[in-house]
Amino acid sequence: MSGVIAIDSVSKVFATRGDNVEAVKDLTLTISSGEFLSFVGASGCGKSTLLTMVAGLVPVTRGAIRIDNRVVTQPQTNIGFVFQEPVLLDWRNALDNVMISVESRNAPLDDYREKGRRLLQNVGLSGFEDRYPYELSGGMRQRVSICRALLHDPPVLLMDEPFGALDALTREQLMLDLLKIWQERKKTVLFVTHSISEAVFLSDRVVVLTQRPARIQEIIPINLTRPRNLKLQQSIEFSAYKDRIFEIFKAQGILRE
Amino acid sequence: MALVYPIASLVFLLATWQAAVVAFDIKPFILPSPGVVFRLIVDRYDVLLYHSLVTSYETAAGFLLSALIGIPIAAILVTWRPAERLLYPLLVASQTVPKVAIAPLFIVWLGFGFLPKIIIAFLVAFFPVVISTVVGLKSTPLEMLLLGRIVGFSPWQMFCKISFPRALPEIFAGLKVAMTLAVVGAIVGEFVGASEGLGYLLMFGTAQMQTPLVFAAIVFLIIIGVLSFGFIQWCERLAIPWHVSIRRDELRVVSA
Repeated sequence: MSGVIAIDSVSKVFATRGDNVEAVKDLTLTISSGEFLSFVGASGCGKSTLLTMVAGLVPVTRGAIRIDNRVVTQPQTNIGFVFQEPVLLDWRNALDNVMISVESRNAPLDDYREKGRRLLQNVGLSGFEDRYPYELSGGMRQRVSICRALLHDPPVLLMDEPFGALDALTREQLMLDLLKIWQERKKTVLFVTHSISEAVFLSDRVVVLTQRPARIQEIIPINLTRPRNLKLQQSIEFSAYKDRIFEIFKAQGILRE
Repeated sequence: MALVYPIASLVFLLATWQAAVVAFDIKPFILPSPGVVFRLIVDRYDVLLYHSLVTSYETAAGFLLSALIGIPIAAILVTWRPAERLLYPLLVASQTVPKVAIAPLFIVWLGFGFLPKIIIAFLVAFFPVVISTVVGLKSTPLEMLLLGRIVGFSPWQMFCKISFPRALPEIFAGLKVAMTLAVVGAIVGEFVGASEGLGYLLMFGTAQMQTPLVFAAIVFLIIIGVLSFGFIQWCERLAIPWHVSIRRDELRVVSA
């Protein structure tokens, strides 16, 4: 199996004007193959930084991150990364935006083209392959960016608040779509969010982070049955998990009543 | 339908002009009436067209040079730090020198042919291309750069597939300015020393008190300017249909 991520006493210090800002402090965590794991924390707590370090976009200050026993030292081109904004290239149509993932590889592009078309169909975008980003809605654009992250069939999918900029209805639909994709392909997913219900609904485990610098406050396994549907959100167990995380945030002083 | 307003204002202007010349009995060498100018254009269209072609050629060549040299220079300035420090002050300094002042030098160095005019047109036109391309290439959003790195783009791919296409709106803004300036450059070159071209015709007409000829030459200059600007705008529409500046125009057309 592949897609095992080992975060080993990782710290990150940003040198800014005047003083150093510690974003992540001594964080250790292993994510197993095919696991769906969410990080929740207050905004600015360093959870996005953690994700960019796993992707190899930002170097760690101390410690090491390994994906399948290989230390991450440079951008990981074999993973999928979904940004908060879709970050589509305006001058490319939907399919060509998806194709960007494989263009630096020496691979037969035609096969991927077919695959890209299928991915877009899977998320309900058939017929929109040659539309340009400005012709798509916000939700459609984010779907395209998810397809882009999946095209090269990466074992690991990193998602940085991917639904944060979407309206509630679109968000629910995309959560279901994401779960379907995850169930079919069994990828390891690291999901950063500030939405507690999003984290509980999607994840196998939810990692609650402290305020900056980010450390692990608590790891909560979510033992809800799969496949999950929207109705689950009204269940007592679901609320119990949410309450538990709310309590942690209250104890942290992030939420006050 | 969209042409009704500009045509109406033009007709009004010309009618007022014609009426004023007739009413006040103004001599043609002071201010020729539109009718006189029009008759001259009809009679001497072959001469005017010939000189227009000369100026168009110089303008087009100067403009192309400014694009072909200006855009790569900007790319080097943006990607290679020492170049910015080496070249930028020089570029800026070169722009503070009035081109009219150095134009005679090019005639001395390169003679009376096409080349000095092309070079002056280039010198006048290339700076806005450089400036706007630099701005465009520097404005790539951070997320796009991260995306490029995560999909494994080399620096060259990053430039070709992300930074450069993203900078096209700014580059076209620079090219449009450059196009109008290239016409000015070519005319300045012809003023200083030429035996053909609209700039030569202007000088000749003024010296001979053939004011209607001067006006006819100006009409052709305007036509060159408008056509060349329109051409760049047409290229822009083809090149960046996705950009908001183009789409706004489309929206306006729809609502009109």
